[in-house]
Amino acid sequence: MTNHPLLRADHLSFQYTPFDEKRKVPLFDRFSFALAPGERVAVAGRSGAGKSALLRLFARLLEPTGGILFFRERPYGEYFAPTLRRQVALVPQTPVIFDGDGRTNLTLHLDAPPDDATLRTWLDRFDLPADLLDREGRALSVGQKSRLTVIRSLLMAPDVVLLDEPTAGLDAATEKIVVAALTEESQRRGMAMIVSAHHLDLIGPMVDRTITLHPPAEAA
Amino acid sequence: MTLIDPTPADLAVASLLYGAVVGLSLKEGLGVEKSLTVAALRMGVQLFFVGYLVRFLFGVERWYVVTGALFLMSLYAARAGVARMKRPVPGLWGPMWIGVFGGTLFTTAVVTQGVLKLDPWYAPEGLIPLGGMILGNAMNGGALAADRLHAELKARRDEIEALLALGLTYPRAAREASREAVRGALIPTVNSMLTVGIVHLPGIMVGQMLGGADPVTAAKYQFVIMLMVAASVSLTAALFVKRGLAVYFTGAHQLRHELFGEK
Ligand SMILES: Nc1ncnc2c1ncn2[C@@H]1O[C@H](COP(=O)(O)OP(=O)(O)O)[C@@H](O)[C@H]1O
Ligand SMILES: [Mg+2]
Repeated sequence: MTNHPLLRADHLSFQYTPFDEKRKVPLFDRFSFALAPGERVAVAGRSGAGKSALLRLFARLLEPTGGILFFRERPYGEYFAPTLRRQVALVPQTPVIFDGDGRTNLTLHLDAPPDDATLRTWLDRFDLPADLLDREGRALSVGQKSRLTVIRSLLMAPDVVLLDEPTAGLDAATEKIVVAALTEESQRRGMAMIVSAHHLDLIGPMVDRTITLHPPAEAA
Repeated sequence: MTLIDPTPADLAVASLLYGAVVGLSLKEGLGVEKSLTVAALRMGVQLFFVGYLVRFLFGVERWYVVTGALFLMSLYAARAGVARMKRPVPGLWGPMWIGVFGGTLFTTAVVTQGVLKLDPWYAPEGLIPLGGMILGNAMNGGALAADRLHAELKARRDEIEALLALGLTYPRAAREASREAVRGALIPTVNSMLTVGIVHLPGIMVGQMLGGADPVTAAKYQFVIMLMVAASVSLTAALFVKRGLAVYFTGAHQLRHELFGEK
């Protein structure tokens, strides 16, 4: 580990204007945070606390209304956003599956897709059947879809993966497998992780530390 | 057959048709007689205004007057195209103009110079009605594409954001939505091509025949016109979507959710 953080938020503020309203609702106010390379952090907080918004800010899908975000100590503004998003990979809360088989769903964004053998290894690590490569993605179960979207992002070999409640649709046994596979990948490649969750039973032990967000009304 | 020029008395007879509509509305309590009257009056005023204006333009044989008139019409068409959206999005005016202008310019140039070979090239009797008609169709196509693009982007926002998160650029992340928008704009044109002459005799063909033209000549013109409409609609829709898409994203390839409202 170097001393330089991989990701850093410096006095990050975010407020949004509800549709057809003039009022601004603050969600984050001068929030500062640093993530070391390879570090694993959980983001806890009730529904509506801003976990998804924070991860989308880190993925530069939202623009902060104040403060600066850094990747490798360079401000986000200096990066071409699509390139940055391959290094800081967000797995959205709602799994999105596209038309086509499992293989298409795993590799549609890759310039040099891995071969089937590699893909099957990935499926196996997340307890998914190998024949899923040839099955229609839309026909899969919610839990299978969500694991597919996790693998899809990991295939970019990002420096940090942002997982938005990755185990929400899973039973306890599968959740354990997913947490183990993620930890293993993080340790193997030195990949950092930020995982949001509304309960920390399983994710708590795998992370280095936890930050807790409070809904704006409570914080005020 | 000679050209039939309706006299004021003839027009008064035609107005009986309107009386019948109002009568029906009153008798059945449809309550549309007021809006019908307003619409009929507006329609009359607009048509006569255009008739006299174009008669004036026909008299001024200057290329810059003719093209200037079409240019002004394109600005108006672009505005109307955006205003017609169910929820007009600020910033789409420019892309709409580029679409309408580009689609009209290309199509009008091919038809007036390549097919009809107008002499002089700006002959107002040809350029004004054809250009105006192409412009009208371009505007319809642009407005349809705009509504469809908006609806598709809104419906696909999770999908688009997921693709952005996978490192795709916004044109690639929104490719399906763009395609659907252009496709949607073309559907009415394709449908009208399929039914023209069978279910429906276009107004221009009818007008030409009334004006004394040979029906087969009128058919030839209609053939050119249908292709012209298809070309201007698709070109306008494609140009608009390419430019208009940028309005829905920031420079950092972020989808501007605030343009859509609640899910
Ligand atoms: N861009 C935005 N526009 C409107 N509302 C937003 C926006 N971003 C966040 N919110 C609101 O902020 C709150 C926090 O949302 P979210 O980040 O999804 O919380 P969590 O993931 O912790 O449940 C919610 O009330 C949500 O509606
Ligand atoms: Mg959330």
